[in-house]
Amino acid sequence: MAKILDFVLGMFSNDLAIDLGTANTCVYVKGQGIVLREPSVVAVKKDTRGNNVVLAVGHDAKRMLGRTPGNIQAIRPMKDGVIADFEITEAMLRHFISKVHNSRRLVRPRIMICVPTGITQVEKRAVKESAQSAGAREVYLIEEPMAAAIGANLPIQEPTSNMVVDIGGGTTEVAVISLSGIVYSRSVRVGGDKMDEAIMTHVKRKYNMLIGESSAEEIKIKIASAYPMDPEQQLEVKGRDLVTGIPQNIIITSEEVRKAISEQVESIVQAVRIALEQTPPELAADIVDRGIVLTGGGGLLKGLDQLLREETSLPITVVDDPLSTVVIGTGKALDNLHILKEVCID
Amino acid sequence: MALKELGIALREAREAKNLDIGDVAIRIKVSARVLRAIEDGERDGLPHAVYARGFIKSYAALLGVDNDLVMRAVDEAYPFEVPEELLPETVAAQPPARARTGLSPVVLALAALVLLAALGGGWYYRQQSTREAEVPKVAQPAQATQPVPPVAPVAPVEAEAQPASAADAAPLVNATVPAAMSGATGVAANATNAPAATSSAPVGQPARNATAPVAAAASASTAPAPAAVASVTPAPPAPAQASAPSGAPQGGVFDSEAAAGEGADTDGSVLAGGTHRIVVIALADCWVHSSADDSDVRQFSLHKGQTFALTFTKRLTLKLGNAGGVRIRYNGQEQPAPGESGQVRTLVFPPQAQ
Repeated sequence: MAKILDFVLGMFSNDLAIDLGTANTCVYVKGQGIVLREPSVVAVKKDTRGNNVVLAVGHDAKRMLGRTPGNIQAIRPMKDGVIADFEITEAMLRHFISKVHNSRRLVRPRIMICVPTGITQVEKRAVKESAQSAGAREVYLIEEPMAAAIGANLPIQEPTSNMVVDIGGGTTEVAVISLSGIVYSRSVRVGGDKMDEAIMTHVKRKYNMLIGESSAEEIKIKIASAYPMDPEQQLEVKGRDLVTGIPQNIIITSEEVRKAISEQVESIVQAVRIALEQTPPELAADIVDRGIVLTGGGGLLKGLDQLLREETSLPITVVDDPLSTVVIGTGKALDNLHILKEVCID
Repeated sequence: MALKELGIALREAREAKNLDIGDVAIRIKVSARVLRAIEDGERDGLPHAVYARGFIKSYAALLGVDNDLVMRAVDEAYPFEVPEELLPETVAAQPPARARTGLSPVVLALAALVLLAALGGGWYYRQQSTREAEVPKVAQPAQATQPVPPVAPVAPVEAEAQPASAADAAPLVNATVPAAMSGATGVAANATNAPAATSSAPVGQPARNATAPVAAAASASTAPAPAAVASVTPAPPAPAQASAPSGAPQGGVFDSEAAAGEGADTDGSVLAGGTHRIVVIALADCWVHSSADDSDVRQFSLHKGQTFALTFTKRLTLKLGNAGGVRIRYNGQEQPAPGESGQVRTLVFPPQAQ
């Protein structure tokens, strides 16, 4: 009976795949593709009674980040790949779901969400429950590297190994996948956010200047690199001088940024190295031929593929659209749920 | 640009840069075997599509070959990046995709069902509502065709006064009616008791007979008068009735009071336009079913003392539940009693159509 009901509801519901990332949230609608990609930021306002009212979500909220008066807070509810603020995450999910699912309120969607490998049961539960209370009929979880591999069209069902490195905002996932299963995975809580922090710290130390998260991210996107660039670049950065307290401009070069984020890059490389060490020899042999696939926003860091190539002596492939790989994979898993159910986790 | 041409272009670019395969292999860490396969355009020697794309891209990037050109060639070589492993399943997994088109018949069937149910419901509702509206609605034609009855001079009543039947007819109409008047009623109402009198009466007479007593009965309460007066008294109540049928669409069923006005104008044998007119006067409660011109079907119950007027052009079928309880006037002409009390009879008008 429940099955029939589910089938009937399934005809009317628009199933969603969500990449609930630390930096960006992507929503994929079954049969439509990616319909939404917005920063995981929520601006909340405290009303007179002390309740939090959601003011803006996504791009609008991100513009408020660091520019809010006392009663408004721009919050990033995800930290290190997991939910840091349950209620805000729920509000954000609800907003995104209603945005893409507006005309079909009657039937609640089935939602597949990807989560980092190695998150605790509590963290999994938090994701599931926040999605359920945000209006999901059923929630499936899939591990991020698996979603990334599916999204990158890797031959995951073959008995050969595929190594995926997914560098997100909060976490870096390294996984070796074979026969639709994860042979080895490692998740390090280093990602784009940590690089932003490192850049902020560097600017503060070297130039005695405070810059916001958004400025730091801008620097990272525009000039940061992991490997020496041929013509080194520079960028004008605006911020507040710590000594005089007066806003000012400085010029920052790609070389110093590279040094600033080297610690984070190094831990990513280290994670890959450890993963390679832990891979069973037969699968390691396959990796020599095929190399490593880089996905996630971190894959866009200039020179990271070259650095990994040098460090691991393996061919590195960066997928065409690293930012959407995970959500596309999650969507594919949702489309072929009956086949790929085995890749889902509880 | 096919894979082969791309391979040739890459080889040329590499040779122009004075690099050999080994150098390239060291730089991009792709094995020389795979690089050779790329240059020869041998698909068999290349790894899985995703990796091959990546290798070609990094090779082209190293050599500084136009990226767009390479990307187009790669896209051509690997048109849809559907992994072969997933392909059979994706075809088998078409159900989700096909489910959309495949399910649509189900959705269509459901929609059709809902539509049918809606139509059926609508039809039933219409049926119900017409049935409810039937009685008031069908009663109207009789009224519509009815001209405002002029105050007709009422014929002398004394000629028809039949003292013999007065006794049993009187209680039917009004207990307070004086003897002469109730006698007049008796003639008309009591068709069973005195068939001879009605049948032998001239065409115009019975109508007056009927009107006179009823009108008299109506006026009786206000002016209990002897028979001689009764013939004159109908005049005042008549105008009152005249306005009633024209103004108030009360239906064809009237009290005996209303019948006075009606009866007065049913003088003409056949109404204008070839319409026939039937007046049913109930002496006792009677269920009536009428079908005028085979289209205007109505059924109703007449209570004692009520009068019902019907018009039709061609044919009228009248079914009476209590044939003895009614008196029928057809085109102003008193008809013989349709039957015994409690008898069910079906009458057809005009009579020759029987």
